[in-house]
Amino acid sequence: MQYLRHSVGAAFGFGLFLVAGALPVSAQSIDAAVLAGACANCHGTDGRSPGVIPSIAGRPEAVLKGQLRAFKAETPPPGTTIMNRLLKGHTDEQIDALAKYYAQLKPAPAATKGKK
Amino acid sequence: MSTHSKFSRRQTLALLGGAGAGALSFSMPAIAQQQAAGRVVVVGGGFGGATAAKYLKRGNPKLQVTLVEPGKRFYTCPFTNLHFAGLRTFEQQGHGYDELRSLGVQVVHELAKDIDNKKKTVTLAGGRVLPYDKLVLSPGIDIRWGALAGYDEAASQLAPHAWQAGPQTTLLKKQLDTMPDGGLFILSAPANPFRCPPGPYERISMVGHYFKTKKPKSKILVLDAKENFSKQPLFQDGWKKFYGDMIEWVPLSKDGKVVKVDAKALEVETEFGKKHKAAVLNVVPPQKAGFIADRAGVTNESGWVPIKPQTFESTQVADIYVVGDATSAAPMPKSGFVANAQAKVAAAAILASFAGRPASAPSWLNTCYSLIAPDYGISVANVYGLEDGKLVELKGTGGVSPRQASDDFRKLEAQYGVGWYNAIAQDTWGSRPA
Repeated sequence: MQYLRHSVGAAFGFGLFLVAGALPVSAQSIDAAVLAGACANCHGTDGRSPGVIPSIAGRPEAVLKGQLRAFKAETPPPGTTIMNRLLKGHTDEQIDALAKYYAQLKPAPAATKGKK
Repeated sequence: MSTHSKFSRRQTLALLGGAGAGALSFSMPAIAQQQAAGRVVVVGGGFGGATAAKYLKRGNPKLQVTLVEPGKRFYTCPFTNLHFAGLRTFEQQGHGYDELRSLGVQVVHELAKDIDNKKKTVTLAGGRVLPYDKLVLSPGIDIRWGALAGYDEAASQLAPHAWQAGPQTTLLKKQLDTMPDGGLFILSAPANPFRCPPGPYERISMVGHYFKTKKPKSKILVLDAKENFSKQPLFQDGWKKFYGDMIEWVPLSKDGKVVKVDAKALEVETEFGKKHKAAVLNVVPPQKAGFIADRAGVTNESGWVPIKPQTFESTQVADIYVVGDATSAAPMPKSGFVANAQAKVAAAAILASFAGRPASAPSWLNTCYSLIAPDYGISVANVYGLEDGKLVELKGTGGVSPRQASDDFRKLEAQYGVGWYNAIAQDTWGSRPA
């Protein structure tokens, strides 16, 4: 568990270097809540995880965006296994919409205390 | 909860931007005024049904949502294989409906026995009739009794399928526990499509772990009606690494297809007449959509339910949405993850329909972890979309775990598998990790 937490921290730090400028959201085609639906299957309802998979609710938008783009670019951070495979199927517009959506959700209570 | 749904609606509006704003100019108070916004009945309280009920109610608390599910607790098939390995208790597979009740879903613990798709009613076993504006069916699978010669309901009491979690799981576990060391475990695997494509192979991995630690002289024979299977190279690498020659897998072309079962003798016969006798016989039989789908008139000659991919509404009957294993939604597998993802798309489409707007672009993922040994997990990921109105797996996406991966990577995937189970159980039933 300790290892996972550490990796996740490192992962988000790494992602910061890859933040790109926001692209315009192609409006009608994206419903962020629908797009985000499948994330909950592993990251918990509204991105608040009950287990070892990191919570994503309330993380800074730029951090989320950078992380998601790093997965898509096949430069996955250490400690991750599957997100690169999933993100290859997402457009930049979808990534931006997801980052914005999860950044504005209330974080998990445990995450705000700095522990999982 | 209302705070959340208010927020997500605002968020959606913001993202939809100028073009969508005209069609979406209603405000929250306008929504709140929509008393009796609609009646939805959901049949089946598994991954698909419970998720649909939850996301419908979250999306519009004014909807009247009724979930019909006979069991007070739902026991998931995913992770029951770990129970056979002695890594989890059966009760850890159980989930209740308290969260749905707290959201305002009416949970009715009865069997739905019939559906009138013209009058738009569901009839319960006790005789009560529930009218609906929209119906969601998530009935899972039924076994095609007799489709495999000799395999009927009575036979399953001697040679369990354990492909629906419950007494069958407990029966197979008991048989494994009482089997003498040195016995042969035979698993008969069906042709596609069936519930949980990697399931048979994870099962034999977990039985392999049990034998290795408790009954090391025992053997496993897999008789398969297919030529290949999900995550095959990864499974076979793992079997070799952990279980050596304990596991023998026989494909269709090597006479792997079981055509007859003699449950009393614990014996199976393959296509070319070869007989195999087991100490414990596990038959994963041919399957079809749960019977209530037939009653609703939504199944076709395949025994499964064709759907419109954009919304998961039946192609045959209006206002009936079908999700999960019962659907014919290839290339999506029949998995709990997919049932949950389909349910969210169907819920969004129903909410849109009640609000008089078109359904949003759907989005589906699948992620499936399998455990080969306690610290050795593998996964497959898929991303699906619509192309020319057809469901497709998006090119260049998804894939299985790398074949050359470190033990650390496999250990992480074993941990993430547990993380996935805990998250989806929370997302579907509001369960806390057990």
